[in-house]
Amino acid sequence: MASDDEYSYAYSEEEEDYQMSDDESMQFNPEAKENPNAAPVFSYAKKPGIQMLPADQVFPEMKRKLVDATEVLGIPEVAAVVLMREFHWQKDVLLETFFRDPDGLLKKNGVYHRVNPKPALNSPHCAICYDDVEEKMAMPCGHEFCMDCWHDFCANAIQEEGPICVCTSCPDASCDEIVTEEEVTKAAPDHLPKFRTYQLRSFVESNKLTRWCPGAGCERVATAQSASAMEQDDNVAHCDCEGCQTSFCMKCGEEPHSPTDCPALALWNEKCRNESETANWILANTKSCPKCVSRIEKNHGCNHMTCQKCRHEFCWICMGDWTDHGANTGGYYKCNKYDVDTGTSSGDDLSDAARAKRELDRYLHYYKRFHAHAEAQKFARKQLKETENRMVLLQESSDDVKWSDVEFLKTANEQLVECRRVLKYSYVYAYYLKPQFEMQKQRFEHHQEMLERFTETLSELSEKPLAEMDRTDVVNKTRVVDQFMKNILKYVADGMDD
Amino acid sequence: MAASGRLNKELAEVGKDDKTSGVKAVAVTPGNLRELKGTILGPEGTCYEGGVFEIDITIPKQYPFEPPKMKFTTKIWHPNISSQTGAICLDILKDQWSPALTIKTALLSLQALMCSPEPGDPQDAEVAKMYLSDRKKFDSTAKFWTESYAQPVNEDDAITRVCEMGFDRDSAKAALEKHGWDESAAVNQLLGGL
Ligand SMILES: [Zn+2]
Ligand SMILES: [Zn+2]
Ligand SMILES: [Zn+2]
Ligand SMILES: [Zn+2]
Ligand SMILES: [Zn+2]
Ligand SMILES: [Zn+2]
Ligand SMILES: [Zn+2]
Repeated sequence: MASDDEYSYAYSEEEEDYQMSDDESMQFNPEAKENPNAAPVFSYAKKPGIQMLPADQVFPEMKRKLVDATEVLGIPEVAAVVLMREFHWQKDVLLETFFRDPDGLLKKNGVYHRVNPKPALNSPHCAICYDDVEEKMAMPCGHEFCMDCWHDFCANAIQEEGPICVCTSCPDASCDEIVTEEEVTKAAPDHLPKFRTYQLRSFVESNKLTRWCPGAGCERVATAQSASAMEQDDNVAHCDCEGCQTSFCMKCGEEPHSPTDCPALALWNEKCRNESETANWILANTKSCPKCVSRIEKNHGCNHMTCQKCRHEFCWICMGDWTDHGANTGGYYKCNKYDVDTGTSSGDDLSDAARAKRELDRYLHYYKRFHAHAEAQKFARKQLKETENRMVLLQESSDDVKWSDVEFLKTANEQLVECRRVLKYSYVYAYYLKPQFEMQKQRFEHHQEMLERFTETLSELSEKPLAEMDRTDVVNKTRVVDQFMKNILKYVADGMDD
Repeated sequence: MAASGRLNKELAEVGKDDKTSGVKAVAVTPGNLRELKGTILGPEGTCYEGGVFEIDITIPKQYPFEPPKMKFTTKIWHPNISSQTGAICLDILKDQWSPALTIKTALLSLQALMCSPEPGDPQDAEVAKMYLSDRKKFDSTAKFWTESYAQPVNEDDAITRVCEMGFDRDSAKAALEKHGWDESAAVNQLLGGL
């Protein structure tokens, strides 16, 4: 708004650490070379160790691991599947346990007789249907049943019990020997494809190095070469599925959540579930102009609000005066810091109720900001979808405009989505920062503040009517905001050392 | 699956030694092998001694690959059986079921459960709590329930009592059979109630 001029190029006079760093893990859009006006796009370095594979290509991977284990252990493949599953497909851990007490391990996992078969027990009748049947099939444990009963037993397990059918044990009540692909192949070949699908599914789910793409209906599997391939320095194992365009963290399956790590995110999500009633109440009750109390509908991405009625400018997140937030006051962008002493008596003599209220206030401070950026991210995503139309309009607005000249709009929008995501999780990170790291916390909040301020500016710019769109300004702010985003992530990745 | 062939054999097998085993199972209506009525005699030396406990047995479509569904219709005070609904918490009636088990083995397992409750895996939290904290009170409550709710019905006496209220023998018998020898329910029906 009015403060645009104050923001312009202010970054070039900032401290040294806002200069471009040529960190190799960040890459720039190669198009930037051809078109000097295009803003650089933040993109995650593809880790060579992580691949997205269609489900049918995961099968050979499972097979390869099985053959590998089978050779070392000297046991049938169908027994190896069971053991590998138990050890989350970590061959080394399995081998270590196996060679310490092979028989104990085989018995515990229901594959002892698979390796040491017993002759069939040869009873005159089938213990399931009670009929006298000639043709019977025995498991390696010696328990035999008629083929019809075997078929129905396998079919029932696969159809009624679903994925867990790969853990079915011998029909004999006192026997723990596992029913494997071998029995299904012989007795219920009609159900073998389904059984194999479940086996593959259990491979992906029990394996620490694989994860189903969380995209709705997507059948691709993220596959890491090794555990270290998943250790990236921004606390996330970033995966982009080329099949359904979903981005996720391979370690936890959630949206990429840098700078927060997976355990903190899980805690946060749990907390939000528990507190959702309170938080929703607060959110629902703060949606009116702080000055004239008329109801405000937020229908755009940026958090700089102007009341339609009284023209009061304020911040959507803290509902404070916007003038307190801008650079023109000379002060910090005052929105991201939680002040412990605000509204509470300090000291250790707090009652339990006061302590609980303070903790709730603290949570709500972070939650409101988390939520506001989440909403703004959704908006930016929606806007990104509409960008193409805007680009066409912009190009048609003048004769000598090329497509590459309007691409900056898309770049800016993509950048906004990313920034909102990082800002969102930066509040989760801040919520779990230990209080003793006061200095680091201040630095972190400073980085957060810079990113937040420029994200709001870019957001505001990108929402302007096309006629008022200043390309150079948008391109510059996109580049700057990208740099601020890298700065905060790098600060955390470097262990918050100054 | 020849489930009915197996069920007929199973019922014949239970009938062979029901005097000594203390468990029994019969079809509720002849010819329908999906709805059975089981009976367990309260084991000697327990608070359930002298009681006769009836169990509703439903045979699922996938039997014997899925367990029979069982629940007590006689009220019983036991940590692993709901004092309200008669629902049973027993592993072989759930995930430990195997098609090589039978209705008889399941009933025998229930009988064993009556001898040695497992309060660590309770179905009825209130009963389990009493079992663990006040064994004396538990024993007397269980005995009281056995005496109040699990007494074998002398069928002739019951019919006579209903007849004394002014109904003929045949309809009294039919009503009592229909309501599991519950006299007040039978009378209620005969009076044109539910
Ligand atoms: Zn059979
Ligand atoms: Zn067996
Ligand atoms: Zn996908
Ligand atoms: Zn994660
Ligand atoms: Zn207003
Ligand atoms: Zn705006
Ligand atoms: Zn604010």
